Amino acid sequence: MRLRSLLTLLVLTPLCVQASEPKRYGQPLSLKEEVKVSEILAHPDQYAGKKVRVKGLVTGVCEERGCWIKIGADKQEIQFKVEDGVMTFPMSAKGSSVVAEGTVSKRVLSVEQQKAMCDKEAKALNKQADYSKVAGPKTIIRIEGLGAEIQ
Amino acid sequence: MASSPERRALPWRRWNAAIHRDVGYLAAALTLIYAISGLAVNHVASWNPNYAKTTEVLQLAPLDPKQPVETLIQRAQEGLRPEGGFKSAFQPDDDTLQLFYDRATYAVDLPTGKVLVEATRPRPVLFALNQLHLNAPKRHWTLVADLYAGALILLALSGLFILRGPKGFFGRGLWLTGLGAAVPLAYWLWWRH
Repeated sequence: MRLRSLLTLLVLTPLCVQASEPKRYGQPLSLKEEVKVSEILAHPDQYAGKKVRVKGLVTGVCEERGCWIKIGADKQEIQFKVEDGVMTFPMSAKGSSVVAEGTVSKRVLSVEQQKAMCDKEAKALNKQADYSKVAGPKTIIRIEGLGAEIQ
Repeated sequence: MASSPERRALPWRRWNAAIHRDVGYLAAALTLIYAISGLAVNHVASWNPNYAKTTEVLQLAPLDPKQPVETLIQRAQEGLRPEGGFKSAFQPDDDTLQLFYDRATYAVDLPTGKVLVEATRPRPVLFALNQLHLNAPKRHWTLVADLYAGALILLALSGLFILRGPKGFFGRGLWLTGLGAAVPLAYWLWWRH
């Protein structure tokens, strides 16, 4: 009976410890200073191409592949995108605290580029291309994800 | 006890068949996992292979967006009485309050009181198969997946040479193997252009 209790303790202890620790994804975090999400979105040119560390709440998760999360803070949200398969975020991460690092990217998609993307999507899904959402050039600011800790 | 001339002449075929047989047994479960998950993930554009999602619209009394966020959270919770543990709340803009629970997310439009409830739950079995297929665990599972890939190569190559004669690789096998190789090659050339 003692042996069984000891074994149970040995099995459960790591689980308890693990539960209180953040779940780590990708590379270990290395930066010390955090940048506010609102600061990046307000001055994207200043941060484009730079590695940043942000903190916030996971407000959205890619439902199909877990290949991005939305990080929300200060009434603003930014997408944290990772290569498919490099990190896979579960839907249960929604609403959890996150500290993440990655490189800020700013892309301006022209009307032609957006229509080309619509064409590609339509071909993949075997349906008619829909240009109704294309209304002028579109600026996309996001973080190309390197690593994250979710708790 | 003397071996027949045929058996002595071709011992490698017996080894080949034995390896194909035993590696095949070992790889059967993983093949089913990858194949079933592959079918599910292939059609990701038309359905979510990992999660079953339900949405519902509820109506609350309108809430004043100018109230402190703590008050808004409390009022919304009183009206909604959600199930599961409360995780956190977030305001993506002045008029919206999101409440995150273990099992659902509630997006409250404060001026109208309209609430969009989204609940997701992992699909039984299929979620686990997809996670393994996409190597979500990383670490040691990468080694298992690499060994499995090696086993598939071994199975493919050893399978070619199990039979001899007109139904062996140098008979109908060559034609069927060529046909099997031509399908991806032709599709790739067609798709690229």
